[in-house]
Amino acid sequence: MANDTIKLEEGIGSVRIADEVVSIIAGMAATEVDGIAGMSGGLVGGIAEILGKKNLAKGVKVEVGETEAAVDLYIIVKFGVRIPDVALTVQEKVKTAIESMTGLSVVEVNVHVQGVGFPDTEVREEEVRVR
Amino acid sequence: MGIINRILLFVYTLFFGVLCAGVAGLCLHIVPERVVVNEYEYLVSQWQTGAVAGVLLLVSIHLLLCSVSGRRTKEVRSGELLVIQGAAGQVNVSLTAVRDMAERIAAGVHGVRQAKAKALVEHRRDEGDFLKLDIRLEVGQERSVAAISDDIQIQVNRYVTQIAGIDNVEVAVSVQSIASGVSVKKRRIK
Repeated sequence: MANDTIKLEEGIGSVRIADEVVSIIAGMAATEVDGIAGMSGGLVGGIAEILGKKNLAKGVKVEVGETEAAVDLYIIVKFGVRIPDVALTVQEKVKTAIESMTGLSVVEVNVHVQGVGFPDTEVREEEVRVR
Repeated sequence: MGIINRILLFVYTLFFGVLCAGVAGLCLHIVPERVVVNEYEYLVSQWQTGAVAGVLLLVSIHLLLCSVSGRRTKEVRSGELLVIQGAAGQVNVSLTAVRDMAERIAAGVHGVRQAKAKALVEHRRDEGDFLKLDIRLEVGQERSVAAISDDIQIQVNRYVTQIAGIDNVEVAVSVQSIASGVSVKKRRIK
């Protein structure tokens, strides 16, 4: 992991940004979009959540070069929202967030819709008719 | 290539890999000749050797036919559909998500007791990618089957086209059973 960092050479020193930081920025920007039910982390992510470990980079894969980055997001959308509209909003927000916070140029943000989140069905309690 | 063909190919190539290693060993005289002759005579005398050879022959023919078949369409039962290819990147929707959506919509139609959906993508050479949804229903008796089927086809088609943004879609509805409508209540008091 220590090798997967972006190094920005400045006059007075260098700035190292870990790949995971870019993933977290992308993940947080994506989950803020209206219409996103959550991020899809697969089996490992699911087990980690059950164990209580919060993973802000869940469902995010990044490829980072010297000056550019490419992001793949695995999302779950809410039932009833228009998928292309939500996906395009996610692409814009993630790109803006990463470029403004890290200075990297985002070449592509690929969105993979892995599932649909349905609202919880209400549970009606049966009335007790006898005593 | 489907999962079954992949497994067959794996076993087939493993067998031939081992066979080639054996032949290389013979050529390099790693194994003594008398051992080879003894093993050969033993194997040839066993019916199991013939059975294995027969099975491998059938597998060879099957894989050969798969490699030369010129199917016009190719079906994919897992993976993703490409919905948008834009300057910012791709938007893909998984077949699992499409299937879940279709099931949910079908289950919400009046008269449907249970709905199960299967989604697959057909790669047609001349027409591009087609999404095929196969919805199987258990319905009640309160509504006609034709009305339920029409309703489901319209709603699912509309949802997939407008909400998911997938244009080429075919929805097939099949009614598997009709519920009798009689529910048995379990007594809770003694």
